[in-house]
Amino acid sequence: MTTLELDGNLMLKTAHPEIYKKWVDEDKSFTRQYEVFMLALGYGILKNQRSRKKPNSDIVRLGQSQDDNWVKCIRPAIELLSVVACEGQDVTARWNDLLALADGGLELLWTNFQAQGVLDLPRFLAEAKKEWPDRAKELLKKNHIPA
Amino acid sequence: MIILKIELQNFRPFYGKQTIDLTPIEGRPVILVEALNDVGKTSLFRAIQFCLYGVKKTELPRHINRLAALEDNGETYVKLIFNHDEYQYEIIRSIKFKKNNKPQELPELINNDEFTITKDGAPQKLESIEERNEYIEAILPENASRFFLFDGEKIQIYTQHPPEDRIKEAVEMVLGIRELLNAGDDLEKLEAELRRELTALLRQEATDQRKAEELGKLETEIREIEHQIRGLEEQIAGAQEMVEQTTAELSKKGSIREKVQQRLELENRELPSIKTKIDANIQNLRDFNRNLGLLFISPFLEVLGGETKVTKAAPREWERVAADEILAKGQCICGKPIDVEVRRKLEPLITRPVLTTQELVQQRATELIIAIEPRSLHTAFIDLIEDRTSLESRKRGFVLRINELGKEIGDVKDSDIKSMEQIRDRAKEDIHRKTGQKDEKNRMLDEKKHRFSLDQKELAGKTVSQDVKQKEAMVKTCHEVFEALKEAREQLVKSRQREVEKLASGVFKRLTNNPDLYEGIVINDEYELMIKTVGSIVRPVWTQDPSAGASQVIATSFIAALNKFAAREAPVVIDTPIGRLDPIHKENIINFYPDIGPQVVILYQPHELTKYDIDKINKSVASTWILERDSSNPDITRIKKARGSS
Repeated sequence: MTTLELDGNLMLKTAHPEIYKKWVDEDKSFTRQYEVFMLALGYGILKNQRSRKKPNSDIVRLGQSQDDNWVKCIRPAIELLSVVACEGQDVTARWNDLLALADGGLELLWTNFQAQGVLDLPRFLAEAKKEWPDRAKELLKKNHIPA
Repeated sequence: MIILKIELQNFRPFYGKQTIDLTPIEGRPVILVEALNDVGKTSLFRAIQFCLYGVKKTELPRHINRLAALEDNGETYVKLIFNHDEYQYEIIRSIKFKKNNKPQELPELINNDEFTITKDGAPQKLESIEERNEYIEAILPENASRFFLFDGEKIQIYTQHPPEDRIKEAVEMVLGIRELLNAGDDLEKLEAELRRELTALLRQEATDQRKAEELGKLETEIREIEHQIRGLEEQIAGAQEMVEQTTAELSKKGSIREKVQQRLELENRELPSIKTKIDANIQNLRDFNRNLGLLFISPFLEVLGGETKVTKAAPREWERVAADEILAKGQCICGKPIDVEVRRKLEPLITRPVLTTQELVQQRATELIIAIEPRSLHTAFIDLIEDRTSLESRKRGFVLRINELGKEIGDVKDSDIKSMEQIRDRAKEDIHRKTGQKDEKNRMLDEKKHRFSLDQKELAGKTVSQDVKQKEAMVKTCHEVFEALKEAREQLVKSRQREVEKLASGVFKRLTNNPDLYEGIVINDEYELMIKTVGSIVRPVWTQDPSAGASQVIATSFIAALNKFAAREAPVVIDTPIGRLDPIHKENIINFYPDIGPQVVILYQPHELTKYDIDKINKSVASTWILERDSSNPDITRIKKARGSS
């Protein structure tokens, strides 16, 4: 492998467009859907949670947005995670795994949101700080990428 | 008088029979009674007044517990057991009521209030209302009771306008001057009676019958003027009562006006301002959420980036491809040929060996960490969340306070306050006008009495009758005694006023939050309270428009001085002891209350006295009681002894 960059035609998708609608359009907690996707993907990877539902609702193509934050940070992060955290023999399989992890994380976040009435973000961040080191080692070992 | 116990049955919120023991202990005069607003503090306070002095007939149904009246015919009573002059007394005032079938209306009475009193267990025979009243007056005169049973918030009345005659009388009663004044009044009446008898004799015996007839006429005129003066006095007293009632009502409503103002301030300024801040915080948080996902994976990125301290990121794949193409073509994308300098910068990008996946991952993770700066992002996030929590908490506090104020304000309107002020102002004008008329009549009366006295003396001098001479001698003696008494009384008043003044100044200096500014309190002949500031500047308190807290402190000093001076031992029962005092005044007054008398019953709500406040006077507390709503029926109040209370 000589590059981490993925085909710009790959599409971010979800099986739960109503959750995106709720947090972006109704609650206005996020400005763009891919911001939710990024959080959900991170949480899904941390918790090793994959959704069983087939993602069928488009969010954005990798090469579609020219937003600075997307280009400089979110897209590179997604590309990186597809290599270090996803399973599959080829790009397509890894991409599908990435979508399943994102929806898995989203489902967990949604369950918490429904129970609390709000997204308890400080709790999620604290959880991340505590759980990532072990989870990271586990992932790196599995994908044969030494830290 | 020291109250030992109060037993209440179906009195206001106290359903069924309930008892509170208020017996003080040697060295522990304070009895604390804690209750939330509207639970029964003021009702307990009123129970004492009701038992001792009764109320107007129209007020009686209001004292009956509504729930008891809905159930069946019944009885409401207050039993007061107290020690006075080494005897134990028991007074019961009761009302019998009919079952009330209309919950919205007040219960109907079966009889007016009944009153019984026993002294050391022996029933006292008191046939008429006058006899009962005289009996109670000898123990604690109703007029003087205002200085022993008082509402901390309402005592400002003594400082807010010149004292009325009723207050003057009450002060004189406490100072023991009233008895002398009454003796003077009796002597004046006796002299008038003797003069009438002398005139009657003169009309029979005088040689100058025409002059005697004129004297008779003059006497009739004097009586007529005296009658007019009494009428004016009654009118003035009525107007004064109106001023007092409206002032008390306005004081209550005045605090409501302040509350309306507070609510407006909260609704129109504080709440919108906090909402704007919350909106800004929401917007900031939304902006922040752009990077939330990245912040979330940042610990993972840090692991991926390893310990490498990257100061400059290695070229990315697209940079290598672009550099390769530019160098191959020898010109920039814009078409401009590249020079040696540019070539020197681009060559390292293509000569660098292709990175392994591990290196790429490490490089990408490091680049991302540099881009998002997770530590400062995390700090910013925590700040935003803390701001939000604090703003939401303030908003909740404002909303809660607005609701509380709404409940306290009830349905009082500003127009009610204005119309009440008009009534009070008209009553004040009435007092002013009628007092002027009374002064004029008194001047006429003095003239006529003087002329009458001279004419009577002249006529008597010309008469030889022994009866006339004898009666004239009696008039003269009576007059001389009256004048002597008057002089003695004036001297006594002055000396006692000075003593009260000294006591009040001592208490005031102890209570005020600014002892360096004040020299003390001065009480003038009209019992007006004056404040003496440094440099001996003396001004009436009510002209200085003192704050509610300052008024309460001045009034408390005055009352405390009267209580210390009073010959009679009496309980001090204080409702709402702290009122609107600032923290310094509050601390001073709390520390002072145990010294106010041999029995001090403090009826307070938990916000007025905290545990910290109570700890400071704990060594003076004989017992603590709690009035609380019944858990099964919030309209019923139960009296409970506080846990840990002796």
